[in-house]
Amino acid sequence: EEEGRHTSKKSSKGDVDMDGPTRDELEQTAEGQYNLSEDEDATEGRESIGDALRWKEGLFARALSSVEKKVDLMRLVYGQQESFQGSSLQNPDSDSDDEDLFRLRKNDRKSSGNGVANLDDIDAEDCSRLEKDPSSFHDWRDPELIKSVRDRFVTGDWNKAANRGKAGENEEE
Amino acid sequence: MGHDVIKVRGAQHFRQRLLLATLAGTPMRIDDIRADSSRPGLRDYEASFLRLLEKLSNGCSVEINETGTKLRYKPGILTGHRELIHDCGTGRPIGYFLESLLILGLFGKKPLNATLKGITNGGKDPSMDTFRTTTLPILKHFGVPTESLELKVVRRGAPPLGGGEVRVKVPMVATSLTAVTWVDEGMVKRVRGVAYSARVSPQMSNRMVDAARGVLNPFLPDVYVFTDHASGVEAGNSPGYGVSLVAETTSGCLISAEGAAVGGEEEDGDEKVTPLLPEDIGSCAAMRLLEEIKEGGVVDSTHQSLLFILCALCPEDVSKVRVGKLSPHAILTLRHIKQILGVQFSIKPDPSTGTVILTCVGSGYKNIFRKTS
Repeated sequence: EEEGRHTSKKSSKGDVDMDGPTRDELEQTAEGQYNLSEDEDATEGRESIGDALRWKEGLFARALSSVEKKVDLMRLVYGQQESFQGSSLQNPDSDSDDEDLFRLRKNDRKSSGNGVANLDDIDAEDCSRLEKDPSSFHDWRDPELIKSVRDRFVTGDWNKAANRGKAGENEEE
Repeated sequence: MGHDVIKVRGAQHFRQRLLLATLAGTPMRIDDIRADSSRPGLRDYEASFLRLLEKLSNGCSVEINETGTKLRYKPGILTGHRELIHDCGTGRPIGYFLESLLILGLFGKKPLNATLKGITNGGKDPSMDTFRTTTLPILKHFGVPTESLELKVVRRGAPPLGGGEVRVKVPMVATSLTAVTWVDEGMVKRVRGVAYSARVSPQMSNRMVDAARGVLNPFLPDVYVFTDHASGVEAGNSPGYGVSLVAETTSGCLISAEGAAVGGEEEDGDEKVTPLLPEDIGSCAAMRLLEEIKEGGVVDSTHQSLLFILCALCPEDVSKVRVGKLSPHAILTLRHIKQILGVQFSIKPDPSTGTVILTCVGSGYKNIFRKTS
C-alpha cells in the first residue's frame, strides 16, 4: 500500500543502484513482516521476537525509501510525453482510422484514486482532493508509526524538527 | 496575447485547462470528452462551469458540438463581478467551482463578489469550511490582502439535493502576486476544525468531534473542533453531517482534512451508499489529517495544485515551495502549467524528510484586465 507514484514508473528502474534484492522481493518481504508483526500484536506475548521483527521492518522501510529517493521526479512529471495523452503533443487524429468505425465502448472506468492509473485516463475525474480509501491508511495505533509522526508536533522533539527544516535548506544548494 | 489554439483531449482537468487558458488568453480546443464512455460528452456541472466563465468574462465564446464531446473555447476579458449569482447545481459541490473562481477573481477588472448556490459540504470537493480555514489563507502568502478575502456560509447544503448558499469576496490583485519562498513546515501546534450537522440531530457533531479528538489527542492536547448545527432554512434540502479539520503549524502552514456523510447516489454511480456513522467520519478525518501531516509539505495534498498555479502566476522571480508526495492531480497541473503558461518547475526530492521541493520562475503574469485608473 506504500507503493508511491514516485516509484511505479518503469523509467526510474534504471537509476536504482541497489545490488541486493529487487524491489518486488523487498515489497513481498516487507509485506510478510507486516503480517507477522500483526500476529505478534495480537498475541502480545513474544516481546523479543516482536522487537526483532520491528527492527527488520524499519530496515526494509529504509531500503524501500532509498529506492524511492533515486526516482527522477522531473522525468515523472514532464518526461514521459508519450503517456501524457491529454497533451497536444499527441496527434489526436492518429487513432481515428476509418476502419475502426465501430469501436468497443469501454465502460466508465472508476478512477482508482491512487496514482498513475489516473494519469493515463484522459477522462479521469477532475478532483483536487486525493480520495484515499480508509483501508489504505496506516494503522495509527501502531506505536512505531506514532513515534515517527510525533516529532511533527510541538509535543515532540524540537531539535529533530529543526533539522528537518535545515535538511531541506542544504539540499537545494 | 494571441497564441495558437491549444488542443487537448479528454475530460480530465477540465477546470484547470479552461482556467489557465483564460488567464493566458489562449484559445483552447478540447476533443474526445468522454468519447468512449457510455455517457459521452460534457456533464451538467461542466456546462455550469462554462456558464460561470461566461458570466465572469466579456467576449468569451464557447462552442460545443452536438454530442458534447468537442469544445472550443475562446477566452474573453476577465471583468470580475460585483454581484455574481451562480447556481452550481448538485452535480458537484460549490468547491468545484470555487477552486477556479478564486484564482480568476484575483485577476479581474473589479473585485469579485459572488453568491454561489449548491452543495456546501460533502462530495468530492473541498467543503466551504475547508475553503475558509485553509484555502483562503494560502493566498495571503502570495501577497493577496486577506482582510478583503471573505467566505461566508449563509446556508448549509448537503448532497444530494444541496440547497446551500455561500457568499464570497475576492479582491483583485493590484498588479501581480509576490513570489514566495515557503519551505518551512514548522511543527503542528494545534488542531482546529468545524463539525457541522444539518437536518439531523445536533448530537451528530459532538459524536464526530469526540471520535476525532480520540485519534488526535495522543499527539496533541490542543484540539478544538467547533460544532455548527443548522436548522430550518439554514439547513438546506438534504440531511448531512461532516467535519473539517485543520492543523496549524508553528510556521503558519495549514494542513486540512475532512470527511462527511455520503448521501444519495454518486454522480456516475449506480450503487447506493449507506451513510457512515459520525464516529467513523470523525476518526477517518482525523486519520486523514495524520496522513497529511506524515507526508509533510507546507500545504496538504488537496492544495498542491493551487499552490503551483499561484507560483506560476508570480512575477519573474524565484518561488520555492515544499510539498509532500505529489498527487496525480498536481502532476497534471504541473504539465498544464508548462503547456499553457510556459513555466517549468525544478522538482527535487528531499530524501531526509520524504518531501519534494519545487522551484520555479514565475511567468511574470500581471493583472492586465485591471482598470489603470
